Amino acid sequence: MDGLRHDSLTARRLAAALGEARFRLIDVGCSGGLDPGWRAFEDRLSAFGFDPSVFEIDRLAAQETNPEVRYVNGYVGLPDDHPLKGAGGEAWRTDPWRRVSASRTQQLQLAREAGRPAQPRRPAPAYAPLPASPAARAAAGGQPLRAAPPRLAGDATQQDLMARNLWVHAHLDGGTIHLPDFLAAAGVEDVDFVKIDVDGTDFEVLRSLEQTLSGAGVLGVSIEVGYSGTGDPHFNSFHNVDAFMRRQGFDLMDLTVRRYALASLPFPFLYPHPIAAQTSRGRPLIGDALYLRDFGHACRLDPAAWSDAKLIKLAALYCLCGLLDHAAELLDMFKDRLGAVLDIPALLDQLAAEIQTIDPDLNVAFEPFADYAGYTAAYEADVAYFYGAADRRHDQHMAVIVERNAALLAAEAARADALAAQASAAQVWAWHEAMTRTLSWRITAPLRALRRLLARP
Amino acid sequence: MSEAGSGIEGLRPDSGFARLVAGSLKAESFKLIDVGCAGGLPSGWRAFGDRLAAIGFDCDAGEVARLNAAERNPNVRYECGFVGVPAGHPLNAQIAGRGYWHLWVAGRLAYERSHRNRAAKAAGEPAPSVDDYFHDIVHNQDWSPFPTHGFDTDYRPTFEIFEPSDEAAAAAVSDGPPDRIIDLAAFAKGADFEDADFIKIDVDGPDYEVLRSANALLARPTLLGVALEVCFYGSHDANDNSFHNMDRLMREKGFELYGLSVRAYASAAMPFPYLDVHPSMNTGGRPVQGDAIYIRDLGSRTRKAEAAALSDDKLAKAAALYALFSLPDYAAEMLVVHRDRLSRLFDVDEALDLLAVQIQADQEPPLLTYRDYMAALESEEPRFFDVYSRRNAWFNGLMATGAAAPRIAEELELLRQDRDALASKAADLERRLGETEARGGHDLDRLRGAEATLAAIRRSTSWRLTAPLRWLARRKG
Repeated sequence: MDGLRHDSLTARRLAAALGEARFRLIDVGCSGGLDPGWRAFEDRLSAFGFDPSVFEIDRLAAQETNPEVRYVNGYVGLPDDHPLKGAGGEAWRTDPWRRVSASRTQQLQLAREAGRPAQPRRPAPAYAPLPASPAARAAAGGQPLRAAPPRLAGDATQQDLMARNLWVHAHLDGGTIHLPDFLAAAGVEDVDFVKIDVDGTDFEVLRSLEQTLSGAGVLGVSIEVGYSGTGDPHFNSFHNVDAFMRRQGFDLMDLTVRRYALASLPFPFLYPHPIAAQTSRGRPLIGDALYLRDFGHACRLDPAAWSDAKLIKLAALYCLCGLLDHAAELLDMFKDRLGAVLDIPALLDQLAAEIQTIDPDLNVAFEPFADYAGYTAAYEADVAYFYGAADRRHDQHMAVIVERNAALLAAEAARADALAAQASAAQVWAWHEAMTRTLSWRITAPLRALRRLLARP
Repeated sequence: MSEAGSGIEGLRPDSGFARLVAGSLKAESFKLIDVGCAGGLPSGWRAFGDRLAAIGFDCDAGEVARLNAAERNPNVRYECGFVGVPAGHPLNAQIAGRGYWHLWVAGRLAYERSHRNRAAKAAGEPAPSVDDYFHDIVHNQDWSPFPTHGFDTDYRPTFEIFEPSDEAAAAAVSDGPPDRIIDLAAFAKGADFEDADFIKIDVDGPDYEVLRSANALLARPTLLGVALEVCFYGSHDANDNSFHNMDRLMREKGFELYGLSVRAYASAAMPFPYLDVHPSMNTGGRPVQGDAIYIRDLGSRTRKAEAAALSDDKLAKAAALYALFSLPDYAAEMLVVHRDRLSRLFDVDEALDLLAVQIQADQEPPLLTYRDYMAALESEEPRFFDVYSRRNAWFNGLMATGAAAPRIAEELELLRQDRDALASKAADLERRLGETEARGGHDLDRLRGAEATLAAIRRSTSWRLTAPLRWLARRKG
């Protein structure tokens, strides 16, 4: 999940105000562990993490210190007999995955490790068209890629595979988990946040949660979205996810774009060797979409139906997701209601301090605003601090570049001087050594000794 | 809230490869339709030189007159009017008076509040306090509530194609008042622009209606790409000007998403700074708008039949579009996949080298040829990995000015101390060497003098005559 902050003091203060209330997180695709940002809720955090990697679930469970955080092995999705199960067809069907440089480099790496020659580079094969109706899809056996995960030849460890994002080659196992049934069996009636990142069937997972999203007081959802695909209403593509989430009453609050270049002329990979994944440029392929509740729409949500704890948790979520402005708006909007359990002015002051540290380069040449009142008064007065951030950031970068370049040039000159002096000293010393080794110098040694003797007082 | 001028985020100001394509086109020009052209055509399109033909639309009569007066290309012209859905257009039955915006957040956003404050100040009136603003204006008003007719969740009708009649086409291109409503598909038909290569739409509101009204153009396989300003708010209603509706429509018409920017706007309750020098987007906040670039994926084998039906010129223009939108990898794929056909227009290997130059634009020379660049990737050279860390290291270095500058100054001071110590040591050694040489020279002179005296004594007659006496003395011990 892109963009979850780990350093929000306001989020920690809001979490502390929850008292006995817990923050319930569902993490579908928890490989790598829960994002550290969630630990802002400390021992109030309850979580279920799901993943098909047996190794990863065992590893996470062994490391976990919070007894309220549990990891479960399996594939979250619709029940096998659900009419929409597999309706999206093969997850990467129209995706250009087989044409991108990440796929090509992974092929090369795996071939190298297995000691076999790499296949020559050539355009990817055509995909079979998707049958039009769910019934036809069912007849065609449209299933996601988990049906037969390819296994890696060679001796790469499970840990290596997870670290290199080659999870599809890892040991995946477990049955289908229908989350509403799972939560009911676990006695969980209340969920605060759901994260979904399963690399393919994300939309199906989301659809399986329709009942939970409407009935369990869910405040937010983060989901990995695909930017490829067709207009098909079942396909795992952003437009379907977005329409679905808006129908459930959520607003899009953040959207990231991850790019993958083609193998035909690839841009460099973002991550260190040997991780072949997204590239510095290229076409948008996937990203993270963040959906949160927004009480600013008077027509959409009735605040009376939401507890104080839910509002506090939503404010904390805004802080964790970098939406400090929305946190301030929410606290201001419900200051009368939440004033009994929260020190609203202190929290607003904390937010004002936090917003000024989020982009430290923008604050050069400006005195920090002491509190929320000072910050908003300056905004109302249209002061220069609030304008031209792009230019300021650029100017600041340029100033730093100039300063660094000047310092580096001076350091380079000093280093060159030092090296020259060192070379000069070495040469002089060499001359000295050569001279003291000459025959005449050694022959005349007694004369010098005699002179030293005579020179004694 | 569009970007300055008629810009599209992601469009490069130039491309050597696009220029090569422009100079190689056999029969076609590059036809562009720019809806919302205030500010003029972005410079990137000028890479097509005199092969560029364009029609720009804007509702600002003064701006249209200015652009027409400044234009030097006789194939580029600007029309005044509102591109939209005129009375009698069949799309009106679907829209049925629905608003194109719902759940609009503008009243709560910082830029809106700043504009209101400025207007109040200009009028000599006091602006409402923040509390009053929020409690009397923002929270108590539904800026764009849900549709009054209930939600329309049937997305399929939005794909319906409205082919313009000959009469509508003739009417669209005839002179009219500057505030006339222009049917885009009809105008394109009347102006011989139905085979347009690219359409840009940015009208700050009814963008989705304009797009739907132009469904006839979208359905033509000769339309290679579309740039849209998209909105990240709205409901799930099938008629909302929201990104999900545009995205679904574009995919249904066979386009793929090749570029997406996200512009964030902060709440007035505690705004992040504005990026620009006037109130608009902020450094933080929720996504409100962005630019989406759609292009046909003619390098894909799934689109083989579509590519086969297009002219060589069209394929070359599609590759040029990729290069102009900073996707030289897709341009290269087009060249590799359609090498035989594109070889009729230009030297494909030379073109691949041009694309290799474009992709290495931020690297130090010497730049690699396409062949060497690809070989370097296949051997997993370090340059192809870890851009994130390298960029972060550089960026963090910049950001940590306060930490970096003293550290460098410290290093500099240490180096200076080293340099001074070494220089002092060298001077001391030189001094000692001088002394040694002087002393050694003196002793040597004495030695040589003594040697000369000894040789003279040995050569003297008295020395030779007294030799038997010295022999006797040695025998006696």
